[in-house]
Amino acid sequence: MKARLSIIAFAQIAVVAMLLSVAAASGLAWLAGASPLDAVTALAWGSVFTRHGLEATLMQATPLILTGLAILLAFRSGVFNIGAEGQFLLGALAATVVGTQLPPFPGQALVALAAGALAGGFWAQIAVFYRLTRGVGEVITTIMLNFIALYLISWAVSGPLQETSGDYPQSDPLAEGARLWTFGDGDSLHAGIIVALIMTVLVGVLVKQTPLGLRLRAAGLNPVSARLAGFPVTRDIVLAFTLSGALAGLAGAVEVTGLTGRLFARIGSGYGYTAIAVALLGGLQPLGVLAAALFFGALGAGAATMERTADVSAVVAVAIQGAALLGLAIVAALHRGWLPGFAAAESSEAEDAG
Amino acid sequence: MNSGLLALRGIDKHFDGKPALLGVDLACGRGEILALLGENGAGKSTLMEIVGGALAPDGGELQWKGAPRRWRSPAEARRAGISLVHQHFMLVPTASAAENIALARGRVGLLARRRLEAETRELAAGLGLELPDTASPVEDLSVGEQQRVEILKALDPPPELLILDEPTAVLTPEEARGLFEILRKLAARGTGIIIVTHKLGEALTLADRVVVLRRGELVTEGIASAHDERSLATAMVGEAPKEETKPPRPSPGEVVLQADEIRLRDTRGREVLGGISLGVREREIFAVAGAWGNGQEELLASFCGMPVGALQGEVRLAGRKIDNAAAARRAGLAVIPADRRKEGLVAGLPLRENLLLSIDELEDATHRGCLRVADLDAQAQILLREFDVRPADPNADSAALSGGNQQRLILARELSRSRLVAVLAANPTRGLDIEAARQVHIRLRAVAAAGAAVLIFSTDLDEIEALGDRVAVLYEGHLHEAQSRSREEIGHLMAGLEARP
Repeated sequence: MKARLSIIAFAQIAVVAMLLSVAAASGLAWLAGASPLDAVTALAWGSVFTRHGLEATLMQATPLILTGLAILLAFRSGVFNIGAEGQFLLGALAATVVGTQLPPFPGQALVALAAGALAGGFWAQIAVFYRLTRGVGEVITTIMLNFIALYLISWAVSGPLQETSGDYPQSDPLAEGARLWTFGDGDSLHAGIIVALIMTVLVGVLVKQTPLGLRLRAAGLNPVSARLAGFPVTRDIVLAFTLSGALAGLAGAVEVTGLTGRLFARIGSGYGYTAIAVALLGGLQPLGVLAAALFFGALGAGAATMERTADVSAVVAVAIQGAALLGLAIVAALHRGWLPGFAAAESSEAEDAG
Repeated sequence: MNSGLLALRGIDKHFDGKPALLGVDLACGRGEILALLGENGAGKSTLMEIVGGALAPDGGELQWKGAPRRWRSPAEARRAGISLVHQHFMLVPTASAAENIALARGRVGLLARRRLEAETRELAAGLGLELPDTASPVEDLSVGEQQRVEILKALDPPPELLILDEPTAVLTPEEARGLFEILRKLAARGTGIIIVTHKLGEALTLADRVVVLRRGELVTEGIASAHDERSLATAMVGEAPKEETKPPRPSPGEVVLQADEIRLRDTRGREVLGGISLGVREREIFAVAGAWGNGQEELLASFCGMPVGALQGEVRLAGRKIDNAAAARRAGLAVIPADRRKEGLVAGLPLRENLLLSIDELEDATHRGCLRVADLDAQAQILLREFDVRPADPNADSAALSGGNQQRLILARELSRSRLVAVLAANPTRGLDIEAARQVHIRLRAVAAAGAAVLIFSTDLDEIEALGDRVAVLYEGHLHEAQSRSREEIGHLMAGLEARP
């Protein structure tokens, strides 16, 4: 039973992922009546083979890395946080409040990020409260909280936070000082990718090398043994859930301060759910999440180019993601024990010889 | 014995190229009771899995009622009349006893709860098995009660060949005798019975014929009356077991592990511990006998600081009040739990991390907020070698270990603690072979000699006698100390023959 992903397995899966996307892209483009060759070329050029494409890939991967890490932390601790979407939105909302409602002050961008993380953590706390006091499963509460968050944002951008001109349901642009530093070709890259990489390292250290990480993994895999070991299981789970929410909230804040510059209802729609696919595909490993998020980012970026230059609808791009994901899940399952969901069934039946 | 029910000829089985069974011949006739003996890893379970249809042999022939058969599934074998009671329970934890039995029978559709329960009670009563609660989820039943559900499951509808894998491991002598009576009755009606066991006395009293496997080969076969415990033990291990000699006992010191009049009501309000007081001193082994389900789990949990239900009274370790597991661990409590997979280990974590499953040890291993993985690897390797855990690889997953190795892993963690004031152990040798069990006893005596207070709960009287400086019996939530430590007195107490206080 492999606990860690070997480099060879990783390389194999990366190659398979690429082949699957190419196959799905050409097949679906053909079905849509476009030229498969054009589609695949656009996909490749739009994602990895041009500087612009690479930047677009990193840009799209940034929120997925952060939300994927949020899911990783929760799932590893036995917390089924399906609420990254809502926590993301709350983070975006809080960052917008800091960036539009406060007078400009030095370090506003950092405060906006911190506010986003706090808001995401707070949103997770609501689910924690119901789990601990009423025994309500967090799968239910977090999904419900996602809807509440969505409508909260809708109300905010057409009410108290609506732009001064009152034209569209969106907020005013954030103050210059509340925006993240941008770089790259045409300022399409922002410091969010650096934040995401730092968080990947921090989560990796937390999960693998700290006593808290070990306690969380133990509680996630077998809470009975963890309790008997004297671990503060309940406190740890609250902490893991809150940190998970904070990471998703941070992703929302990064999206607003780095990319969009203002809040609107459909911001980052679906990142919180895609994050679950990213985290599972990444084998609930920090580097795996990073790789999976980059893969999804590349597909997204390539699909956008494909739509512009090869005349293939963006809907097809979503179908490519789905097909590639499905194929990868099967390949990963063949690599015994890589996807935790598949591995569990195999490892639980270690028999006594006799 | 060829009233021909089951006949195996030259059965071979390999796992990953390693031989598990080599040319085994075995026969069991109608009305015959056959005892299958052997140490862990001898191939007993593998052989029975083949008979029961869960495994296919690589070579050889299985004849069932004179015709060669090849089971495609356990269900096919069950339909043909072969029923297997597993050592590890195969129950749906959230379903009741009645529902579990109905499920095993393959009943589908709407199940009338009350009728099922009535039927189950009737079935149990007809077989002389006591089963107090047919309505609650089986996960709320004690281990002993769960096993009775397993046995009932196997007897409904009555099979022609009944196989039991270590059935008495968790039963009282009284219950075991009851089970034997049932088995004899079934045999008298023509059912063939194979009982897999490592308890030699049991095999000799119950069985008509005994068969001993060693390393996948049949080494001894014959009628039971031609054998005695010594000859069978020799056949199993291949050499005469060393005489157990109790080392001279050091004089015990102060009381360090203490319970004062503790009473516990479970979540349903049932009194499960009825005012238990006990004190275990340094350098002393206090052994508590009794069938599982008389309050052992509840008393153990109370000593660990995690009672389930409302606890009155106080548990103290080295003068400190224990009201949570962290306090118990920090005060120096080692715990060898009853169910090693569920309570002792975390499957999915490497051995290195399983060795850190105690809050004080985890804190000790932390340096500037991080775990020193390289040091931990080195320490783990030393411990794994010392306690003979195989593989001695700190990165191996604990789920991949065999039962005996899992138990050794827990011992390695618990007995190597830097603060070891008291040891709580529940059936510490359950499922281990003779040599492995002997090693566990030696280690427990050694930690006691080094100053620890040791409290052992065991359903195995040999173990109680081998280890206990003082012996008591837990019966229906009350503790009775056996003054004479004689087997007779212990047996009486276990059967509840002493008037309750």
